[in-house]
Amino acid sequence: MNRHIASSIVSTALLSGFIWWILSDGVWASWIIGLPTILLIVGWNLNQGTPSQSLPRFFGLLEFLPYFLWESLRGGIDVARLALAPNMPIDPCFTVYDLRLPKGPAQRVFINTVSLLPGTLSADLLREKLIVHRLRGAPDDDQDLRECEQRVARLYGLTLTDADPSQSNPGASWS
Amino acid sequence: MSLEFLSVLLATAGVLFFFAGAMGLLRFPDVYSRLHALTKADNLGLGLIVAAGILQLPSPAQWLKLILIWLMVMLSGAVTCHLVARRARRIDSHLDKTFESDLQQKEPGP
Repeated sequence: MNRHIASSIVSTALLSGFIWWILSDGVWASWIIGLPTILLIVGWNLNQGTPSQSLPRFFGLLEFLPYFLWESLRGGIDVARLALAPNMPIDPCFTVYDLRLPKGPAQRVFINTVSLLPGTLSADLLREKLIVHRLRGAPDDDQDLRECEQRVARLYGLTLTDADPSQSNPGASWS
Repeated sequence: MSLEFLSVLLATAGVLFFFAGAMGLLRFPDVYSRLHALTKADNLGLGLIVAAGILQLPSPAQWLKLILIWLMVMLSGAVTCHLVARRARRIDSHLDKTFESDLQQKEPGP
């Protein structure tokens, strides 16, 4: 058993234990059910093959959280204004975004965060291209998405190779 | 109590965002636009109501429980939204292809 798998087991067990502690209000007797459940989760996780390659960095999380909360606040206000405006000034369309993040947890976090940004929604994923639905028409550049992807990369301690948008094969590397 | 007042204010704002989300669901033209309203407005509405609840509760364990509920709803909301949009897109493109092949079948003639 290598260190990678060991750390994955420990972090899964700690996280599940913490969630159980919250849910059970810290009642000791509840661990009769809690502990076996946590063991099941850890075992099931191992059974799923490769453990997740990376966890978010703690300081990355402190940096990402304010951005995430602020953007979901803006996103909510934006769509609420559109929904309540009498003339409803929306211009829905699809755009294609070349993903720079590698497959894995970081990419999944990015795809799910896109749906909470103002005016964007991740609709489909086809061969490293994210199909984005936009409520306010197509912009000249995908600055909002690029910034979000950059922040998710920092959260996971990755560096994005800032490829030319016209290039067909943009990539990212582990730092 | 000003804390009480702030709590009522946050909860009211939360309800307003849920209302806006419901309006978007009714008024927006297609499934994708409706998903925008559901994920973003409802997520913010729940976040505000959770914040209002935290101000009413005394113990940090209860705060964590509310925050956990919000995180879980947000995660499931974002994932479900992506899955619904993907399904809708693939059905749409499938229908487009069927429509095109129907047209092509009708087109040839002497």
